[in-house]
Amino acid sequence: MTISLSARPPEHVGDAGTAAGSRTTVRVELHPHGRVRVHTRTSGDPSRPRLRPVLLSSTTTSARVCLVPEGALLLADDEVELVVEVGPGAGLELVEPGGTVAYDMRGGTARWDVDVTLGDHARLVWGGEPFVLAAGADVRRHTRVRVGTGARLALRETLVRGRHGEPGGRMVQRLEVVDQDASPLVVEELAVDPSTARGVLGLHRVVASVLALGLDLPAEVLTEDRYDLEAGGTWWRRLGDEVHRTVAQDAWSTAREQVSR
Amino acid sequence: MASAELLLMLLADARLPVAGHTQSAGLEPALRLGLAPDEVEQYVATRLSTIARVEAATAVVARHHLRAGLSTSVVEAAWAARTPSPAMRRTSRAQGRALLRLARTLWPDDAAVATVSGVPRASRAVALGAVAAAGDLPARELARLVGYDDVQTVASAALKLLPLDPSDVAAWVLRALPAIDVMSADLAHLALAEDIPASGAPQIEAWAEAHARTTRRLFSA
Repeated sequence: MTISLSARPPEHVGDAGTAAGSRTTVRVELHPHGRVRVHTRTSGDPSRPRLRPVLLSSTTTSARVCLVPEGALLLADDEVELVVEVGPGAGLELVEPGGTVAYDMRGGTARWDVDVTLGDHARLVWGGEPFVLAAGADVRRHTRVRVGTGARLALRETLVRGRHGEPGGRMVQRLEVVDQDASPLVVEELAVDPSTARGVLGLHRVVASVLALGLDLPAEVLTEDRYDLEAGGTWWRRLGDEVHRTVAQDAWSTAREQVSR
Repeated sequence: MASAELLLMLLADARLPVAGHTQSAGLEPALRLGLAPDEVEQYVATRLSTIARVEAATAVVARHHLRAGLSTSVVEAAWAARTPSPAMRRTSRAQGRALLRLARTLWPDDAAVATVSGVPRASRAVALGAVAAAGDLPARELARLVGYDDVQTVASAALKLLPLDPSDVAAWVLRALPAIDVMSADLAHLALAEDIPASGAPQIEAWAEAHARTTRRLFSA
């Protein structure tokens, strides 16, 4: 008997999602004749909240897909899994209609796992909307990205601790980006909780980041809050108290434009 | 060969000629940019669970790789991917260079020291792995060294930056020791680069970047 690492019952291993969770898959591939092929799939218990991918538009080289949340996200015991695959040479832009709130879980926990694979020379633009960690929320949020040779990525993430005037919940957020040889480009695990010591996020409520990979950005532009990664790529990360002031808008629009080009 | 205890004392001694007095473990910019004096002890704890934890784990894994005759390049890459701040990478490599210069005098014939000296821009963590391999320092003691050094670096810098009673600062260090032991026990068994914790501290990293751009500073980092 094999035991799944994620401790799912064996009959649910694969594309069926989990008993308490859902799996959404978005796959985009070039097609020799006509527009890119966009495969989407959502599985798991339909009574549980999940993300439904909606194709907004497509061309011969790329597609735009909206991730529409169905049901109240994110509550205790929710397990949301999103798999994104962009085939060699293809492009995808993911959009979200609004932010996500992780609510008070009253002692429970939730998971949010994202697995992205970019083929050689693939392009992904993903402007994530704020992920709000309400008081009492307890979330494990993992994002894993594999980047092929010559692939380009623009990824925006915004984490907000607490709605206005409330302390934030608890979260372990892990981001792991590796290249085609599985060599790490950036690996970061942030443990956020109300007692989190001062050095992690300071007294700030918002941490906003823009990750750009595979772009040609001169060192003298967009220098504020800029972290040039050792193995290539640039991360802008800013701490603040208001979402609109904290997101590095110039960096985001430049990265988005360069990846979409 | 001397005992591990004595070697640990030598390596943890502030009189070791590796320019430790130029470092504040990020405390100088932290105080300048908002950390309150009464939060310094908490700052020490935060570093032990984030930056110092990554550094200690990297040193442990580098030591293992050197003793097993494996390349440290994956260890260096894992550390660099977990250290997004270019300023912090530069600081670590300057310290690594100083440490390796000393190590070549202390262990002139050691293969691990020679190997890491031959790598361009070795981080302090990987250089410490080489020192531990050369001196036969066990993994747990190596992790203790990294944790202890981090705490003492903050503590001694605090005495230069704030009007504190040195006895109170020594008491902080004493209170931090159990956390160093817990961390060392957690990390001592690590052997794979991918298992190095990736516990980040965006606020400390932002402060480090700001410090690298200012000319008004007492400590280099």
